[in-house]
Amino acid sequence: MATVMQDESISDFDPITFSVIRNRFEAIGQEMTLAMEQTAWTSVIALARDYSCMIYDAHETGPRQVTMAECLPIHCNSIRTLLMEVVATFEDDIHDGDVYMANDPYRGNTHVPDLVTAQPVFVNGKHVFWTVARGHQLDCGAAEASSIVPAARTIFQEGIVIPPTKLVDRGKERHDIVALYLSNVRYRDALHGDLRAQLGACGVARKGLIELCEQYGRDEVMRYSDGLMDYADHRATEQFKNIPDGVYFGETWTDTDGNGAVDVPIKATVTKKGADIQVQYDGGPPSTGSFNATHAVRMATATIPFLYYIDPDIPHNHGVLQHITADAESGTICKAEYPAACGGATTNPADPMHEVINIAMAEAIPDLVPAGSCHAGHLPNFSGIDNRNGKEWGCMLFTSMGGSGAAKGADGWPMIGTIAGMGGLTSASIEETELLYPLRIDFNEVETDSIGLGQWIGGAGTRTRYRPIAGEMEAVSFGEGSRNPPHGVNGGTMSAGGGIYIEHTDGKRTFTSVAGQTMVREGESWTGYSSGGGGWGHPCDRDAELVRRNLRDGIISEESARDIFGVICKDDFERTLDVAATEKRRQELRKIERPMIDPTEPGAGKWMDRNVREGDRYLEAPTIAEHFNDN
Amino acid sequence: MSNRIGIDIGGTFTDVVLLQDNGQFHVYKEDSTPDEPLRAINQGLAGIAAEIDTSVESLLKSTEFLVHGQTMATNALIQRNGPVVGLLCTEGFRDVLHLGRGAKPERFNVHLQKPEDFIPRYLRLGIPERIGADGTIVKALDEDAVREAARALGQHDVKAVAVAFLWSIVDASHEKRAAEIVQEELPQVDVICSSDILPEIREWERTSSTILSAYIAPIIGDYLRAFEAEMAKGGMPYRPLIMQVNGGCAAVPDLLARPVNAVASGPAAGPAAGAHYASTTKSPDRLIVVDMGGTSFDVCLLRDGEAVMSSDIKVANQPIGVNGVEVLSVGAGGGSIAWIDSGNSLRVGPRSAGSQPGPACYGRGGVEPAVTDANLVTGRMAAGAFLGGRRALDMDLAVKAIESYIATPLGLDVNTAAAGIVTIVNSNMATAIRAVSIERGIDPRDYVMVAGGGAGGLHAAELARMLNIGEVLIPRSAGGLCAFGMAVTPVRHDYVRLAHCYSNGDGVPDRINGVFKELMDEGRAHLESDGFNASEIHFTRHLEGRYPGQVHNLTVPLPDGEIDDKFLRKLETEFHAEHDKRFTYAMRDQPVECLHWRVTATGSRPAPEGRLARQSDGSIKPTGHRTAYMASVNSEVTTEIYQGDDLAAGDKITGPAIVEFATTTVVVNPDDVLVVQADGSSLLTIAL
Repeated sequence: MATVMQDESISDFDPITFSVIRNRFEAIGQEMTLAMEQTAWTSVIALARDYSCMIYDAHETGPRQVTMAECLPIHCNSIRTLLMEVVATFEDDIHDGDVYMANDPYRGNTHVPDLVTAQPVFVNGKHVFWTVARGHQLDCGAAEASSIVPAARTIFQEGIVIPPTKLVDRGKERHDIVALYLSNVRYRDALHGDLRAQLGACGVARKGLIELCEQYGRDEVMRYSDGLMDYADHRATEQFKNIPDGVYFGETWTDTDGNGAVDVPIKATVTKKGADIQVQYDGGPPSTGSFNATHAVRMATATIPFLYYIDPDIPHNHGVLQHITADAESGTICKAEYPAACGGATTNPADPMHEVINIAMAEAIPDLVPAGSCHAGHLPNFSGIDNRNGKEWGCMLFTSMGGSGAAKGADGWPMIGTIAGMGGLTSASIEETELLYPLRIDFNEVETDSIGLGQWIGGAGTRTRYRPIAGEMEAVSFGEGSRNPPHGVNGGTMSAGGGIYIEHTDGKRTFTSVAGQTMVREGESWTGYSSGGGGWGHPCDRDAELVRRNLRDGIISEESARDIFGVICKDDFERTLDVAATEKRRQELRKIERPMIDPTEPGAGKWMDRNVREGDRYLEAPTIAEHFNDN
Repeated sequence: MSNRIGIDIGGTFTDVVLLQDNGQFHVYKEDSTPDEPLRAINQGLAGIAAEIDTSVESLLKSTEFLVHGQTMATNALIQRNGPVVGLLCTEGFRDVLHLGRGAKPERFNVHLQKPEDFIPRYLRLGIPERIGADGTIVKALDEDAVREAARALGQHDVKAVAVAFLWSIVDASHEKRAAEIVQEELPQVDVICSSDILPEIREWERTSSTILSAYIAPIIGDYLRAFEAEMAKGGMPYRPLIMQVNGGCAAVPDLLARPVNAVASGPAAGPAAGAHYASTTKSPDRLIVVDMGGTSFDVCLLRDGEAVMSSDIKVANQPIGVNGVEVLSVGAGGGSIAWIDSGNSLRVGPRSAGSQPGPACYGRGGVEPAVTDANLVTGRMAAGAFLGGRRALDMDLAVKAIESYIATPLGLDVNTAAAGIVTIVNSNMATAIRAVSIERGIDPRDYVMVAGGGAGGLHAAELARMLNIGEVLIPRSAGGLCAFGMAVTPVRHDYVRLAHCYSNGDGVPDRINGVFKELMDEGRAHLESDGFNASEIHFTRHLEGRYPGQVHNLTVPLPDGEIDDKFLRKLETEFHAEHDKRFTYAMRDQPVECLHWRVTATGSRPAPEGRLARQSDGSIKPTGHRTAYMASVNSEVTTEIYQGDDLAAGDKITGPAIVEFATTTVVVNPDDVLVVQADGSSLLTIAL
């Protein structure tokens, strides 16, 4: 038979059935995802979409990913290890109708708040698939009423740790286990609802997979499932081979370890050979707080960039994932060691650990790497008591998220929130927020010059001001990326970073790091400046017409247009382009060499220097107690 | 005589459907003429007048309802070729449009460019003013700033200005005053207030709805007024009506008061067509209506007799804000191109050959194989049966395209490759149907499928089998399904008011009775001016609400009657039941947090039931036979061919068979049974 297929194994399949079964796997993943979103109780899942749904097989070498519906990228490539723990724990005691749960970050999970539920799928008596849902729980019974406690010293302060546990035994829910779980967390009704949503999602997928096996035959479906991995492997291998072999090194810095240390280095050595990628992380000393990376997080941050270096159409199954492995040097912030706290892991230090791969690979594949994106840091939690009715209120707001980095051929997007989600987060409306909570929002607008500049510019950062209108409120914020702003690449510039301040009634302001806990009294306001994304390519290569529009629209300042882009415009409403002056200016600017990665030094963010004025003060990682004492 | 006419302009064809008061109906398809849409309409009207041996003038004179669905509004949004438009917004919020709600699509594609904002930032001007959530005036309107902004926009030659302030839904005075000032300064431009277009909470959707209205108003305004004049000139005694996204129609001035209703309105006629046809099926109020045309496959649902609606419809990535018929559209049509990806896997769509060059068999220069080519090669379509024989298809070109692009590279014979294309496009369409049914907790087995579009009949029975749907209805006018839906859909006006309260709160009945009275009085007056009498006017009421603190809203229908405490308890019960049905759980100890109260006012007269002139005498005979691919048995089988024009009511055909109608071909798989209905539609019973 004449075939152009290079991988002989694929030619054993009927190409039509192949496409149909691929389609069905993807549809089942979608169905799971939708079921979870629609039935979830908490906004963390229903709105912020901090969850992921996957199908794994039950291969003898350990469970392998069949499909992962597009959800939260930071959950990539890490379920296998956790499922292997489940298999190792229960071995021959895994039965049809069982469901397992686990959240232990030292046994393959990301961090404690991500609760995993996994259901084995049996067809004609044989265990062939796993359906898996991972969802961020609003609470895990930690020392403080927050799913992440930045200052936690050990995992024992981060809430209930669940090793692989049988939650449903042959179709019968173990009420004792459910009760044990719910007795250890706050908001038990809501969390029970979210748990139901997860189980529902697993059940939906199980039903779909059984139907698929009934239609095509179990062994035939498994054969095609293997074929799909070979297919993804084949396509990914071809594209990975276009990346030059070599050993690549990158370095960046995270603002904080969550407990006092600043500008902590994060490094990666990427060894690329053929179609295999091995990432070795290194970095500053472990966090004495909760900002330590776990194995699952390392696997995700090392894998995500390689998934967007290749065609997004290639299915994200084991055939691709197997090419990427990650580890880290012991005794660093990149490798949590028991019983270190690691609740912040999925953003701190995950966000810079993701960026550092792009930094390392920039020289080799500048056309494929994007510039840096905003990190977690502008997702404030506000709470208080409404003095009009005495009721407690609280909310986490996504209204002031920052932008993503530019890439070749595309400016960045605004409202990305954190690179961990890569655009998966959703914000609430201004009016809905004001309707539900005693808050008024004074402004929520793009901040001029918040972005990195280049041939392609970053997605905008914003400035947003909230004020409590019925009594004081507590404000808790976590994250980083303001002292060390999202980087520029290939000649593009870094973005602005940003910060937070509270404006007091006397006009004086208290600036804080983006991670901190403060009090905002009535009459005062909380203002956040989120960072835009970094720029890609030399700014003088940006179409002058686009620069004119950016200036006209107030996205960039006159100085940026003139001094970085070399674009001179007239002072009219349209900012008409002065073509001759622009050409002359650009010739001069092109002589200035720009680094592949900007910045090259830690603590390069200048937002604070530019904004702090006489009489203001600055607090690093404040707590409420400290705030009261000083004020 | 009181004829009804539906005119649906699509990307490829302009469909004209005539439903006469004696129940006879006619479908005429004409190539669309995007440069001058009225030309295709006139040609279509002439074509259909000729079919009944009359003149266009006497046809129009005897027409009571003439409903037109246009694509101009949608096209202007997709192609971004509209006029320059300005926006006045609350100071501090000029980026509502740009920031949206986050949620970037295609997360693993970092090279995806964000579509440009419909109004560039320098034409979005912040005005000092602020109203609070409770209606208090936090900051007075700065009238001088409005005047200055209006002048600045005037210098840029804007054709329309949108005014969208925060909380204009609780107090519209700032918006109204600002609009007055703008109109004083710029008497020639359209000025549109958000509180008139979409008086609902959520500033992004409201602003978007308003700016889209401003963007398309100048375009469709001119066109619709010209259309109205053309029909009047042609002798039509009544005002023509325009199809809306809400599934009903409205007179030109009403539509122009809320131009956004004209967006995405064509496919919204699907449920009306389905409801009209399906009265004889096993579940006339539970329908899956599909329409497979040249470039896309549209699917929508009729649930408990009502079209499933959505307030989350986006066009060109921009929310339209208003409630509309939820239509899921995927790139699967007769023109969808089959291709092989870099892993040697066969794929179909979403890219389409469109009508130019069209599938290879059109002989217009297309070389890549499309679904139509596959249907031709596998014997499912006849080369001479397309468009009632008005366009011959070229078998050789179809074979060549499939051979060189698919069969040879994959090592398959041409017929296997062609059958594969059919199977894969079926799979893509089945996924779309699953997305609007199974994924929403709706079991398609309880539903009847109504299949329209030129390509619908070729695939419908196979889709039904994949989803375990037992009955498929292929209307006689399948090729012009939406045009038919337009001919029979009621006039519809939607009203909404934000009245935030809890179902167990104080004074709720008086407040909501007041709201409903106001909205219903307005609707009644409107429909009376449209020419309907009291017995022809019908109201439905809905509440959009949620449990306190919940994120997603749910819309539930409200029973008739005055609102009192008993009504509110019933409302709670209905809400719990609906929540349980949709989301698998209810919180029965919680009240309902109520947001939007909606009134839909419709005016309609019964449309005549279509009927065939002839009754079956049991003599139906095939006109020939050929081998054709049948998906249910995954092989080519000898198939009898019937001509649609020969069929009489009551005729029964058992598959394998193919019935060729003027605007569609129906494939009857082995053991499926087709029974011709009184109105000429084909009801297929699937052998599951």
